[in-house]
Amino acid sequence: MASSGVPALDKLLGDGYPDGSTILVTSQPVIAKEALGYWFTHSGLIQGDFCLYVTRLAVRDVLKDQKSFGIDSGQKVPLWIAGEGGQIKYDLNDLAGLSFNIKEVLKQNSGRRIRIVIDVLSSLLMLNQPETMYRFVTQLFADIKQYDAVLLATLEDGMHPPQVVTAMQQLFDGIVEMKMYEEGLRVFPLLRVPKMRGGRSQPGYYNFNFTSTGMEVSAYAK
Amino acid sequence: MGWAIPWTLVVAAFLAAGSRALILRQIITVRLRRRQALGIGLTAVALAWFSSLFILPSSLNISLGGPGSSLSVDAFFFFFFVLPWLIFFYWVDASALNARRFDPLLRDSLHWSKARKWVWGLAAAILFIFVLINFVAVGLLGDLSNNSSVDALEGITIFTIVGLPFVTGLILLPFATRRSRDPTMREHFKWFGYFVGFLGLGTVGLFLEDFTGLILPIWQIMWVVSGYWLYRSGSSLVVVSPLPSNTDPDPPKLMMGAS
Repeated sequence: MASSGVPALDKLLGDGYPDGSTILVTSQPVIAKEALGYWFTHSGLIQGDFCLYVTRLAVRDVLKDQKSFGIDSGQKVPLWIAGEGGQIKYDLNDLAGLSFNIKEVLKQNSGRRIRIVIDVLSSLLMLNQPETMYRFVTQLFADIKQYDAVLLATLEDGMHPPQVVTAMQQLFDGIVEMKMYEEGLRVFPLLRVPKMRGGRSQPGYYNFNFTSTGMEVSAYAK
Repeated sequence: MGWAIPWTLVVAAFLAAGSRALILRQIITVRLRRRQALGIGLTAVALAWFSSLFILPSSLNISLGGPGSSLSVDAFFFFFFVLPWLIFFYWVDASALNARRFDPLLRDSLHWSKARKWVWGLAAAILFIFVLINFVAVGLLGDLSNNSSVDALEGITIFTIVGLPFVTGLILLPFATRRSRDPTMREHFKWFGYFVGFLGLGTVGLFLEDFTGLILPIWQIMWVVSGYWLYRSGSSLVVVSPLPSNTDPDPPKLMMGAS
């Protein structure tokens, strides 16, 4: 199992994300789902895993965002495929190039445990035909399984047709879903893990909140 | 007293909009969207404060900074006129940056990520000149109200302070709205547009009242409606779902923890 970097979430999942799994984190744009990717990468770097972070943003923007969650990786940084400032340039019009680059990185680090975080899934889904994306995702997942890596991808909820979201949810091994709910005048975020192949799913709802030191998760009680 | 009821409704509408936006801000975890919520919240609070001056008893009005208070007229002007425009500009900036995040092509509309530093610099310089003229120079040199060059400079600073958010918002936000694929962001801009439109009409109407002497409650009603649109704009930042009936069939005994 690969630790999520959040002890409370690890406990919920039964020690983290299963090896060789692909995890999809979905939430509305107001919830910082990227934070799960930051903690996942941070935890991997501490444990000496090889980490790859794929983003369309500039590296400095991601690092700035990480800091707002209390994460300062210091000298330990992942390999970046980024829009700006990364070792490998992310080109949003070159899906084949992205697939090739990820495969190469996996091959070069095949002796190590590998963690990959991707925050470009939503934009790729908007820019490419569903069939093209299906081919890309299935090829990526085959590579992940081959090298026993763990992949965590984020998806914006509410920005894609429901059938696209459902198709993605079927393809991934695990889903972490975060949503805002309203009860009376109270608005609060809840989390659930409706699917976790090879791990422990939690279809029930949990309160969560981000703090400067991490993330707190507690069983939801009305 | 005839004024009190419509203005009370105006204050209530803006207070509701402000409190909603500031409450939602507390649960938003994305930095730029929190800034948008703060911009909406502060705009609403500033407008509620301003509107309250029309209904409060004159003694209380004076202590809150209304005309004739111990605050100078310039300070009053600064708090009720200059500061809200800067808050408006803060919202425009956060909105443009945030909207870019939801453009799949990550297009930097009008190079805003770079231009904003210069525009903020310009705003700071104008503000500095404004404070220099109205507080420092007046303190040192006495009444400057008859000095035509000072008047002209002050006019330019006020024009820039008002124009900056308006012009940047008007040019930038249509791009941002079109390019952003986030439906909540589009809703947010739509309601904010309605708010600006109704507030503008209501304000023009109030000025016309001064000239024509024709008192109509329609203008205050427009302010109330603009408060409602601002409320919708703030609320649209977060899409909430109704709580499912079956939240947890068997919650395991958990847990508090932080990494």
